[in-house]
Amino acid sequence: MLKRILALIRKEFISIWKDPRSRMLIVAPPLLQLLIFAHAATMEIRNIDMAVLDRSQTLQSRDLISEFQHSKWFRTIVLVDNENQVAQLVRTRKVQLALSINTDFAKKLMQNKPTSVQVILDGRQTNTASIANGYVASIVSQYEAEHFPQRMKNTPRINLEIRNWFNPNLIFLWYTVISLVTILATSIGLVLTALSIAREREMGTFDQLIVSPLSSFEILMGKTVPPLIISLVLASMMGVFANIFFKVPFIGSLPLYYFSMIIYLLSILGVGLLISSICKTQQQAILGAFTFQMPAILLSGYISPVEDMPVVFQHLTLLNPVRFFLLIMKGICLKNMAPQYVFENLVPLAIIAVLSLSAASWMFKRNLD
Amino acid sequence: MRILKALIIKEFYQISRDPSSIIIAFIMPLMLLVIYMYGVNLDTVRITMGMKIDDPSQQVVTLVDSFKSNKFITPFVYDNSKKMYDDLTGSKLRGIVTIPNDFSKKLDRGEVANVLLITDGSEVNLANYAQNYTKAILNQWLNSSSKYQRKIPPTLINLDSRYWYNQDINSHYFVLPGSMSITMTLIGMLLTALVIAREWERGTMEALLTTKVTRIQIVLGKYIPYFILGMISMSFSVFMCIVVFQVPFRGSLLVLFGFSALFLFTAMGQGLLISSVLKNQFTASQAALVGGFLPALMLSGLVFPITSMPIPIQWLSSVIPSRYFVACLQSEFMSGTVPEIIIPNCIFLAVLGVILFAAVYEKTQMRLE
Repeated sequence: MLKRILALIRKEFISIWKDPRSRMLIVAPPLLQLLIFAHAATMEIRNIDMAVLDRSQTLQSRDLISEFQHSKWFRTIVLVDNENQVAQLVRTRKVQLALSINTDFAKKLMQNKPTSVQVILDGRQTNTASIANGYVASIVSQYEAEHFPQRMKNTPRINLEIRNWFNPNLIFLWYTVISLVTILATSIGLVLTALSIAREREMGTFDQLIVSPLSSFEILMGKTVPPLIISLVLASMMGVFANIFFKVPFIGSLPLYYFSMIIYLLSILGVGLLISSICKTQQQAILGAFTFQMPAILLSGYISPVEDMPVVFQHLTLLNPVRFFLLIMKGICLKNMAPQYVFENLVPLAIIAVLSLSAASWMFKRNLD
Repeated sequence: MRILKALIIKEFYQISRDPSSIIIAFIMPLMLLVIYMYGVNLDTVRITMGMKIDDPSQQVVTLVDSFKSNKFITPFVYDNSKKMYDDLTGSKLRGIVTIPNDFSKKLDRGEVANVLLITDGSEVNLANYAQNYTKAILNQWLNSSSKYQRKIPPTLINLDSRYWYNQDINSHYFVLPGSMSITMTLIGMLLTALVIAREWERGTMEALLTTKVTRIQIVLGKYIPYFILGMISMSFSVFMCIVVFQVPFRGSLLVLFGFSALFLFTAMGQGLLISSVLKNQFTASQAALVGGFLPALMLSGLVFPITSMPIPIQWLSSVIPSRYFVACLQSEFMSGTVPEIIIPNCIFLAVLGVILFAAVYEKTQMRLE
């Protein structure tokens, strides 16, 4: 039995590995994508271009503007003369926001009376706009604190002391890189398995495999082990890459990391093989893999947190392996999460793996035309 | 002309007989729209937070009430700090607010009182939300609902922020139309990439070459049917967005369909180029995924703003057709037709499309190897 399985595994390796183009398309992209997307997929907003309509034209208003010039978030500041220019710049997206200072700005400040500045934001991209608005608010309140310190003397105040555990400086790159490693590993595992049976079906070689003395279990082993090894190696390469080039810390236990990674990849390969065993053509298989992968990533907590979703979706995410593994990855890499929390999230993954793999092997012989 | 018609009819039979092309044209867009509508939120997300209260005074009770009545926070009050810290590590909490025992005493004396906030830095985005929500609640409480409010001078400079084109600050208004760029990429690029590769794999392309068909007929015979499928699917998505999900549409349908057609033409060029170069469904789908789909998702400006990316990646994004499409879509939906945005983006799309068409024409070989 072992000999037969080994022969099948060898054959599978050869069929993935023999074509230099397919070899290149499997190995190179994950690392390249990690490199490119890690820097692109950030919610930090930088290089903001803004327009300023300074109707006050005083020392105070120029002081406020120079606070913006010295901040790291803003790239260019365009001074304009009237509201039409503001509207034009915002409408054509030449600037992301505009600041408008009233004529009585300095006068009110000197009289110690409250005044306001108007901020116009481009709502066509609300997430960028609200973050930019937050930057403006912090710059303005800093200006106020610096220039009018006497106002706050002897008044009750609250000082919020903030500590960010696991990532003291809130480096966004750590979050992105860990999530990307998970997503790219998912995508490798799915692509390797989703096409494997469908391709053989299309070529007719799968029928030959079925009439051979191999049992369903042996075929399953032959179809699972090679993609498992390839995706494990690629995931390790990405992990090393993340640690060395992106300086993402790894403080957890390495054996636990690999153990969880194997369980996770098995669940993904199971889903991929199940899709492949249901589909009749490669086109169906690749589109089927997509139909699984897109929602799995969008509803994993990567883009917005699971607890923020409607309850129906929260229940649905219990079927989503990506959701559990993202938690484990962040837990092990950044938090040194206690094993019981890791296992709590590993159990659903193991269940998904067992169910999908056995369903796939059951489908092998069922789906003969 | 008759030959071309026959080729197109043949292609339509293939489309209508394979359920996967129907799934990708109608089910997939619907699924994506539902997920983006209900599962993805880029604005104000709800998060769970832990609280530990060491100050039993009446004032602090009102502060805790402020936290409880905030609709973006689900607070849990803990007595046991160990359990609370474990829950933060186990990703059950996104932040922890600790109010020390001298909190109200210090405020009574007109001093600065400390509040400690610990966030889960492994979720950078949520940590930022935890910080902003906590700051806002503390300020709001101190300045307008606590007994200290009379002692506090009003803020001097208030921000009057306005979100143009999107007063409700609803990210769905730009994410839903933007998600059409993903489905259109899937149809335009992935589906067409698979289709030609399949013909080469099965040998039907060779059979076609032995007939009197000309090169332009083969190319158009593929462009036209999938173009029509794409436009039908596009109309379906637009209908769903505007009528079912009530996304405001302020532009002109004519312009919308104009630049969508241009985008589809370009995306299909990518797909056809990939398949006529690779001639194998496995490698073609890999290349479509890596070279087209993932960049379209990450680098198009749909979720992550392009201006914040490092300069080399901004350059890279300029050869990605979805970038221009997303810019047009968001603008057309939310602010009406802005010629200064539509025209340059359409010129880029057209140039890319024509280059790709020429490349496809060049690469479609009339000779066998």
